[in-house]
Amino acid sequence: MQTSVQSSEPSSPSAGLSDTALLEIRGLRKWFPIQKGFLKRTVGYVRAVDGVNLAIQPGETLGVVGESGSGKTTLGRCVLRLYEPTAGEILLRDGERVLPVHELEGNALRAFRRNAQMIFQDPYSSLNPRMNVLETVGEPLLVNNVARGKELEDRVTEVILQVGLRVEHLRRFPHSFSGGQRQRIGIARALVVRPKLVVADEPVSALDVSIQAQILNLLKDLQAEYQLTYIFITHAMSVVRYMADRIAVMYAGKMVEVAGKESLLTRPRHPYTEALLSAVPRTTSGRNVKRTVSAGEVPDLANLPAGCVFHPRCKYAVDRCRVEEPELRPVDGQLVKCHLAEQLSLTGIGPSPNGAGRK
Amino acid sequence: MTSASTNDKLIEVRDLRTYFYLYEGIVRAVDGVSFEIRQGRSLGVIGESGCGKSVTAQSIMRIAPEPPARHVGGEILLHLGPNHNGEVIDMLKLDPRGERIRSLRWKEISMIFQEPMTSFSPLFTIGNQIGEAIQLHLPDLSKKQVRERTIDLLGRVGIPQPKRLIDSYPHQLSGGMRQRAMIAMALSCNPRLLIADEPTTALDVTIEAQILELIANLQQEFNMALMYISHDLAVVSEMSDEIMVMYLGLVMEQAETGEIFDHPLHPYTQALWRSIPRVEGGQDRLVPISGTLPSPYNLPKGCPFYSRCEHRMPGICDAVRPPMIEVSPNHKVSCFLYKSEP
Repeated sequence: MQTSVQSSEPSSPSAGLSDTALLEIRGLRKWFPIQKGFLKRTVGYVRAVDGVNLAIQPGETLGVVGESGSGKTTLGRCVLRLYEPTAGEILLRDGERVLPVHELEGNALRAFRRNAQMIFQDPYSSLNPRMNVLETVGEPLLVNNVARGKELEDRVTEVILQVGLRVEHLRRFPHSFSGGQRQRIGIARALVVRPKLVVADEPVSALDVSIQAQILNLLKDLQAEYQLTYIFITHAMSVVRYMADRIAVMYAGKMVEVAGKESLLTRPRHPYTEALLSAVPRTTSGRNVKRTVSAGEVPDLANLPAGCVFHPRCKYAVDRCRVEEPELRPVDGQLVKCHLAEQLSLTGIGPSPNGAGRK
Repeated sequence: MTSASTNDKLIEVRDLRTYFYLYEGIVRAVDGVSFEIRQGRSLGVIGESGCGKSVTAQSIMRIAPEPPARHVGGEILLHLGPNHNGEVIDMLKLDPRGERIRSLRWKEISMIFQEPMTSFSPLFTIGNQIGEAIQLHLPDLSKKQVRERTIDLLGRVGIPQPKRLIDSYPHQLSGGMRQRAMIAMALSCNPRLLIADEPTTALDVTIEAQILELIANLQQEFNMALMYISHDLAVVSEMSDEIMVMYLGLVMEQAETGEIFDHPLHPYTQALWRSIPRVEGGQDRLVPISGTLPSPYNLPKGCPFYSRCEHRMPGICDAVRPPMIEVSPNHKVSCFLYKSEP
């Protein structure tokens, strides 16, 4: 099972991309083997991502939310082939062609990385302390044979200015920058090759509250300028509400709900989305709020419950949920992985009555 | 200071100054902070990193590392209440390693921290460590009674199967469970004040919600006072009766929770509110606070927010520190834009 992907020959994708999508993920699976004993026998798998289907339109921001261990980071890394997917297809539109990302090798894989880049969470550990800004930001150009010498420096300078750093920063090393500035360096490094798709994995969660706004605004401005497509991975619902066009909710390696931002937040269809939203603290709720917090924790990914993965924590679960796994299916224009999606009337986060963005 | 009733005061901090004497210079981490917390009430402390909110808490517990920290001024008055004939102790006058302060930590004031993994020793079981705290303060209990009390506590903070988990080591528990164990330890001697320093920052939202609910319930059950420190506005607003906003070692504004969110007065509070994304939405664009934090080694003479403030008045704000004034009952602000209530 785990070698099926590597063995297949690079070929033209069996089926093309649907209509307009920039990226399409089909049946993506990433199982990490659990090895035990002297011979490192595989005794089981951690199903970090288990059968995810997703289509992303050019220029949109898809927010991916979920608790830790839900597989959102693994998903992001698989899309960029930083992890080898165990199974499934990842297709990226590149002009007239469609790249079968899941089976690219060697030079083709390197060329793909010019189209897709990543912004990492921790600006303190994701930068090499022994490389200055010019080397750090210029490295993707060098390894991809895009530019060198004077041209490289010009391109680095251009992108550095774009992310709000200054020319005199070029020869400085990471330690002399603040967290917000380091994240700008990370963003510059991702954008210097002019990618179409950027996977941002918790890009602001390591930053101070007042710096977050600067970085979020910067990401929005860069998106407008370069028509970037973002996969924005975060656990912070307030951040995803500000950034995303659509939101995908992950739970235990599976996509449980995908919908437009407003409809998902105000009218969730999946009980897990409801529980997640109700857990989010709000400035308007005051003390002693009543919550529909689901008890318990994310299940053991090596030993998932039968039926719907959420049923042990779900207060609406019926017998069917315990035996039959629901499909991710369209319900009123949202995609929901729940047997009861039509019957349930769940509460989300209403727009604040007096306008939360008050002056 | 105009507080009328004084009998239910629990802790009173007056003009606290905690400086760090470092090789590079002096950092005035806390530079004249005053507040009080009454029995059973909760005070939220909001601020960015480096604003002095944690050092304030550590000063109360006297666990700020001394040296390099030094308490150069002010007083922290702990009112021991009727059981001790209303005795008042100045925490700053005690020896931080002495007998007296150790009898007050855990018993009168206890604290929970951001990262529960680093707050427990990895070498002893959870039960061992909680039991040790109980035994220290209640030496009359037998070993069996201590164990029973520990199991009872673990059950009360929502740890499933406390009889089994009492013998597990910290690394065997998940983050949420470790934080619950930390809370159990903090509550083991029925403290009257619980200081929570970002206890949920390292946790997932769903677990965070469970922990917040737990702290709120326990606070009511034990009629504890709570000092809740966080950079997360929403979390603080859910946990606190009153909120204090700190910036560079000073209190900028203090008011009741609803009031400070609906009518922030200080330009820093207003700027902070505009810069933070809210889950309720309705924000077209966030407005970051302009400028950068001044160097902590060289703070301005006047208002610390002067260089970033959009309402700054040259010649006034950069000359002297604005005093803390009470604009309306229970709403205090440190800004020259406002005049105290006539």
